[in-house]
Amino acid sequence: MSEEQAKKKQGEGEGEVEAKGKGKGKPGELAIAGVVSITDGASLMEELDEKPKAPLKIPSLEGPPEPKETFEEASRRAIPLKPRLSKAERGSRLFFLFCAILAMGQMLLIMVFLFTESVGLVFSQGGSPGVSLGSFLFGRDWYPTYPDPSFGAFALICGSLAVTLVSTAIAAPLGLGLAMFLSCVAGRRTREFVKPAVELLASVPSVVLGLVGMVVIAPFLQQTLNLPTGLNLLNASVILAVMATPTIASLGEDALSAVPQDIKDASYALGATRWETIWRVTTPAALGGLSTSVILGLGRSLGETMVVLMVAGGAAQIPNSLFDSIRPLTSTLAAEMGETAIGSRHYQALFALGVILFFMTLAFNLLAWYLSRRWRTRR
Amino acid sequence: MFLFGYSKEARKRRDQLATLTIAGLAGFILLVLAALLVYIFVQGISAINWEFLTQFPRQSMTKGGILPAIVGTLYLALGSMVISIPLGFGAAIYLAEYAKQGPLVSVIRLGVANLAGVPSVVFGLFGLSLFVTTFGFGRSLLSGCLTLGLLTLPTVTAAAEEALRQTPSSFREAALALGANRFQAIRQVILPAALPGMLTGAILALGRAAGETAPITLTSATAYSPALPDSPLNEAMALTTHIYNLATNGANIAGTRPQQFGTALVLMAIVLGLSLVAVILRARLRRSRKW
Amino acid sequence: MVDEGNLGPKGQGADGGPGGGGGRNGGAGNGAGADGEVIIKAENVSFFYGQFQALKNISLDIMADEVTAFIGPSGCGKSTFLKLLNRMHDFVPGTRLAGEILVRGTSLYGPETDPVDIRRRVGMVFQRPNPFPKSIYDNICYGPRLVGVTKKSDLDQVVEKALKAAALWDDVKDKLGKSALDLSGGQQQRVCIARALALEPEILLMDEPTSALDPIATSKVEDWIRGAGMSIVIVTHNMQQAARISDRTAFFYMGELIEFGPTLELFTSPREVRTENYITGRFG
Repeated sequence: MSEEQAKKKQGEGEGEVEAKGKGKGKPGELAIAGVVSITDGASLMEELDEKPKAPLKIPSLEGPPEPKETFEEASRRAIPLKPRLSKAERGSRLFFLFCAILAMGQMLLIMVFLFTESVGLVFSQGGSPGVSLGSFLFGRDWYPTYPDPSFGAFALICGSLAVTLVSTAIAAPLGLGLAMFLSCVAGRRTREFVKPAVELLASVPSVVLGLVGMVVIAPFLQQTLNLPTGLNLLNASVILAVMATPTIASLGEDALSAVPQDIKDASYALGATRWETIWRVTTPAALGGLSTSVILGLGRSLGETMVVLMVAGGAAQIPNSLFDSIRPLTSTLAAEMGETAIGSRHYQALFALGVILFFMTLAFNLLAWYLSRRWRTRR
Repeated sequence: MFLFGYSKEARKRRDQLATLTIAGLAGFILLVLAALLVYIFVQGISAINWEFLTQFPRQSMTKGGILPAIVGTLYLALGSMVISIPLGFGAAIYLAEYAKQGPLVSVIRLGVANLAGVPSVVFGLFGLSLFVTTFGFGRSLLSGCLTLGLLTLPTVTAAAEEALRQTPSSFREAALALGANRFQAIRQVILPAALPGMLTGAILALGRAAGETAPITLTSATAYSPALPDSPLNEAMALTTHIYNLATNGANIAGTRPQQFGTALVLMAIVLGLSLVAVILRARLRRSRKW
Repeated sequence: MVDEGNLGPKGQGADGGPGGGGGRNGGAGNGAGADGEVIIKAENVSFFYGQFQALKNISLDIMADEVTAFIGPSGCGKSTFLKLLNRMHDFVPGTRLAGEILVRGTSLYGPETDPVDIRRRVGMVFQRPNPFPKSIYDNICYGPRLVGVTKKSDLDQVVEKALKAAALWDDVKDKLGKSALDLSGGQQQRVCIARALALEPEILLMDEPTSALDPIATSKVEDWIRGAGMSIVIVTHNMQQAARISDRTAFFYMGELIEFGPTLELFTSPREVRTENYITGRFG
């Protein structure tokens, strides 16, 4: 390089003048080169005309045309291109991969730990017989602390499902209505204020909502409906609905807003009113996203712990009415885990409840994921 | 007109009715939100004074303050970020910058998406089994921080990946074309541009960690501690568990209502304050972003 | 202003092309002489995205110190070929290359060649102005800092020289600390040019550098190209632009190089029917 630089230095004196006239014919034409307007194509062409060019070597234009290379031939001689990584880069990349795998591997770890802690339940141990899978899933009696304990999770599963369904029945219309409002009705100003407010509601800690359920809703239900207790399925569902509504509204709004404006415009152009456009064009187009939002809301209700622990009543029974006390899976876990000896039957049974809960929410999540994917690929 | 089953006026009325209903629903929800916030504020503010914020609880929690709970919650929330921010940002960088489309990446992505929906109480079980029992950390701040860290990891990862993806690929191209290697392009150009967005996600996760109850009851919380924790292996009080304990199995449930709501107000101030910061930051970011 | 812009880059061009001075001397009075130096030589280059063949057996020589334009309808492979010249395709998974590309005799894709080094020798300016969200000063310094220039005085010098070379110094010399994103589109694009020039590349690749700019900004960038006096390869979808600023033009169509020759020749007496149809607006 130094040799070249020296050579360059040497040629610089002459090159200076030359460079100014570069490509524009004689050095004397420098002045013209400076003032030629870019829009003045004709004079430029003239200039170019005066400039002889080096003969070009283009194989296809010299002599008889070469036979064209076929795709296969070209493909055969092609080599893959890939970035060359330095050692430091390789290291950093590995670290990032490690993080990613850990983030995901947690899923597996959770499964492994839930299983290993609970699997002992089905085997007999120290004289007490193992609990069969059938009697665990479908047994109706949950008496874990009796001298002759009984681990039937059916009532707990029913409790979880009941509170999830009822709360979603309340939250879905509210959340979707709010989503429609935000996306289709509200002006920009309103939306910019309301959407963050709704997201704030989503971040209210559940224990605070549980407290409100205990102190406000429970006495209200008890007095107006003349019930023995206000801590029941309905109370828990109402509070859970308050928690799920923002989730549904926020995700639903995203889905509705993702519908391309041009198809809404097309509907308006055909004379449809706003409601007709929302109902017949926007909503069907966003259906995948909307159902995803509702399912994620369902998942949130199913997994919520503190609210049901505080206001659902806690009786392990299959609910017959909205005013029955229930004991969902999550609240059972939180309430009983503190008093069990590690490795005991009861401990194993609680981890088994965790397994059920894990797979129920996993099913919801996979369904939501599948729907949102299908919806995305269709658009 | 024969194309439509009802008249123009009927369609118009229908449109107005529907719009009104939707707006009414929205108004109702906002009203509930406002009522909730006002109620907690009114109930809680009477309990709050200097003593409440700086003293230990006394006389079976009926007197005194909630200092150890405040400190415990801050330790837990900040400690969880020590876990989830490096891991989450690292994972996000891998997913956004290095990962090619392939089975491994699909699995990682699916895992992250699903983890975000795993109930917090299940994370609590996991933490109990892994940190408290297997690693022998016992019920402690350390176990709680690790559990909350893993709990918030998917949130942090997803938000950070989103922020990284929003930085235009032209930044990366420009850096590479100037002779940067990939890591340099990420560290010097992409990361600085994406960092505010990534941190917004982390702040939201911080708020979530502070508001969690179930995982802490399983891994680190104690109903009462006479001193502030001086080691990560100490048990600690937390605001959320304190509310729960006072409201459900305290010695004097009705008598400690003011303390319950006072604690709730402090907790809300922390959690909503953090969320508010994140929301404002995000809005400002969107407005000031020029690319 | 044009003078300011023109004088600066002369040194730049000479810096970048060591052999350039000699080549021009030989052809004094004749413009680029018959013995003009070939800076980039492509031989039988075919390129694949997965199973799609984007370039078919392309051979051409790019001359030093000239402006070479690549034209053709969108998807014809002109940008793809340009990006091959500084190995930007390395980062795209599933790309394959056949054939040889030489930069001043060095094999661009040879096993010994350091891609990072190549990208420093072959600068690139992109379609949309893409300054980093940093100050103007830090944008220009990005490349030099990568190669280890850290002394403030050296960097100051580099920044001034590069901005002068990009004809932007007078516009921004008082606000070097301001964010580059606060500049107008045309100024941003010239910041990007200056950022590339700061590494003193031997050749500058420009991928439709004015397609995102308004007419005034376009003319400024074109002025700069015409006066730069260095080796430039520009991809453009705008035939008038190619005619205005380039010395030679290559016409690409469906991944093939249809015709390559002195710009005037190609535009006034094309040898190929497809070239003629394209430049007369029958397609594309």
